[in-house]
Order: sequence, then C-alpha cells, then structure tokens
Amino acid sequence: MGYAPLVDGAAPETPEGPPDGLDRGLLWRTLAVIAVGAVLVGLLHLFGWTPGRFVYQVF
Amino acid sequence: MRRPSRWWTPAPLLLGVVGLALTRGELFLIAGLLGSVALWRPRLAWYGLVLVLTVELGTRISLFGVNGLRWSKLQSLQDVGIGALLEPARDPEMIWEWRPHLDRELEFVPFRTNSHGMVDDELPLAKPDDTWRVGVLGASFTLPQGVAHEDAFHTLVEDELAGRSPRVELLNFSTAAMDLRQAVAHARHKAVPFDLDALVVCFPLSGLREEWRYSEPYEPPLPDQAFFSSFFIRFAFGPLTDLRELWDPKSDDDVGLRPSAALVGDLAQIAKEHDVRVAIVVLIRMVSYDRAEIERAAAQHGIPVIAVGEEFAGDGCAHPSGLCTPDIIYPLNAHPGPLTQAVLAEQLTPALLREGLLPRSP
Repeated sequence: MGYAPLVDGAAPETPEGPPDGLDRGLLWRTLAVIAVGAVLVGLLHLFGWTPGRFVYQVF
Repeated sequence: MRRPSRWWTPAPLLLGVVGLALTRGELFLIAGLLGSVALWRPRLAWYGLVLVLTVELGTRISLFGVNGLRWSKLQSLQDVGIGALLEPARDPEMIWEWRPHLDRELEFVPFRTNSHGMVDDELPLAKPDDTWRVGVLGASFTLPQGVAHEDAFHTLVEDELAGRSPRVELLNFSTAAMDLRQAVAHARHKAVPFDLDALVVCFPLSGLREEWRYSEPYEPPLPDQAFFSSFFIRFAFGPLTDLRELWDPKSDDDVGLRPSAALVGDLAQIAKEHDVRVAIVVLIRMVSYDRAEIERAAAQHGIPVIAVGEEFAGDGCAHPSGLCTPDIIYPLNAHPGPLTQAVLAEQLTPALLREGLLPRSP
C-alpha cells in the first residue's frame, strides 16, 4: 500500500474543488446579494418612507 | 448542494415561531426560516442570511447610526404607551401609572421616575412654602415621549420662571396613551394630593376606547425585545407588521364610556372642590376627541382652552396628530422633539400667565 505522490506540491483534488482555492462563484454571488440588499434599503429611503409615517396609533 | 429533506428540517422554523411568539422579535422567525432552509439547501440559506444581514444592518445604521447596532440603545425602544414600564394604578380608573424609581433609557433618552411614579424629580407631597404648583397631565406629547425631562416643554416653562417668587413648580403626571377618563382619575387621585394651585390637562389624549390592547385591571406585558425586531420590516411595512394588532385588534368605539363633555365637567368639579385653577391645553392639534364638544364643555364650566404649537399641525403629515415637523424624536416615531418643545414652552408660558394658571410677577 502506498500513498499517491504529490506532483509539484499540488494538493489532491476533492469533489468540492481545490481546498486552498477561493470559490469565486460564491464570493461574487454573495457580493451581488449584498449589493441588492443595499439598493433595497436605499430605495426604501428614497421612495418608501416619509419621516415618522409609521408610529403606534397612540398618544 | 441539495440534500434530502429530513423530518427535522422544519424544526428551526418551529423554534423561530416560538421565539417570535415569546418576544415579538421577527428576527427569530427569520433565523428559524433560514435554519430550515439551511438543512434543505445550504447555499440558498447562505444567500438569504447575507441578504437579511445587509438589509437589517443597513436599515438600523441608516435609521439610528451607531446606536442601531447597540443592544442597550435598541432595547430602550420599549412600548411607551401600554408597556412593561407601567404597573396597575392605585385607582382602577387611572388604569396604570409608571413604576416608581425607574432609572434607565427609554427611546434613546434618560428616563427616570420618582417614588410617586411620576416622570419628574423627587417631590414631597406637601407643598413647600412660597411655591406655586401646577400639575401637568397628558399623554405622550405631554410626557413628552422620547425627550429628556430636562428638555420637556413643562420643564422649560419652569426654567423660564426660575427665580420668581413664589417659586413655580410644574409637576408631570403624564403617562403615554392616557385618555381623558384616565386624566380625570389621575387629577383626582394622584395630582390633587400634591396641594396644587393649578392643573393643566393637555391634548392630544388617547381616544376613549373600550377595546384597547390592555386589560383592566392593567396587566403589564413582557418587555419589548426591540433588538430582535426587524427594523427593515417595520421600516418597509410599518404597522402591518405589528402582529399584536393582528392578534388583538383594537376598536375605535367609545361605547359605554363616560362622554368627554361629562369628563370635562368632572374636571371642573375636582378643580372646584380643591380650589385649583384648571385649563385645557391643546398641543399642536386635538385628535380622537370632538374639539367643539370639548370647547363647549370647557366654556360651560369656565375652563380656558389654550392652543399652542398649531403651526406644527398639518394634514397628511407624520403623526396621526398631524405633526408636521422634521424635529421628531427618531425616524419611525413622530413625536415632537426638543426643538418643538422649546417653541411650545415659549407659547405656553405667556398663555398660562394670561389665564391666571401661573402667578403674575410681583
């Protein structure tokens, strides 16, 4: 029994992808989601809200 | 990667529902939902988590600045009107009064109550010599909600008259959401024993309602857990998300309650019995009551009606009172801020002097 030799120091491939590599797809989609969220909050400020519009209806 | 759903997949969601029910914090429900999604599709849950954090943190920071991230500041956002800081009142008609000896923050400002459950400095029941005492009664505008006691219009009136003889004290008997029936009961059972010279009942007061969100005798609710509320949802949908409203809808009917004109008569009677001068003050605008009816009743009993801050009223503005000023206590809560308090005080002092509610300068 032996171990598979590392070739040029490369890490063995795994089903999830290279262990040391960045999942760029996940990163970009995450950034896109953050951008969508920020735009949502921004739009809400611009169009969806007037100061104090929502308060408890008590005095 | 999609994973086969298991019987425990809905468990986080159920826990979230329990958290929501116990604390009214929408974030528990959202966290539970994301937890269940994570057991089903982890990557989708990750994107959901990122989106929720972005909109929630973004909303909090945009509304409150750095305070939007601070536990203690957000937890100061308690229901001021019918909340956990009140206790059942000594008299059933008063319904509630402030818990005594509170020393905390409420809606971002210091909030202290004295041993009598008043939002005021510690006061002896017996009036000191050479002192003129004016009781101030009202609801959140009078309290005033979200404004430090030092900046309240009645404190500013007191400050303005500092150094006079007799010394003028304005005693604050207000609780938020107080209605006229409660105001009369507070006048009778709480204010008059302080040996008042004058009493000022301020509108807006809460409407007379049979089916409010409280029970009589008053049972304080659990404290609000504002930190776990979704300000984004409140920001976006407002009262639609106040689930208490859905579970326990309130009615605007005033069936079966003593009519407001009769309550004004009760007020006049109290004033007469205790030799106290009384006035009705309308802060910005009278709502929930028929102003003509109140004014007729007041005139009938010789009670002056003083209107101040009317320039802040307008239609279609922030608060149901028609409050039209950018000087509100914080976004999402349109109660008059410190700048408006100063204007109210400026107008109120001469009006109270004119009507004999304050002693004329020697």
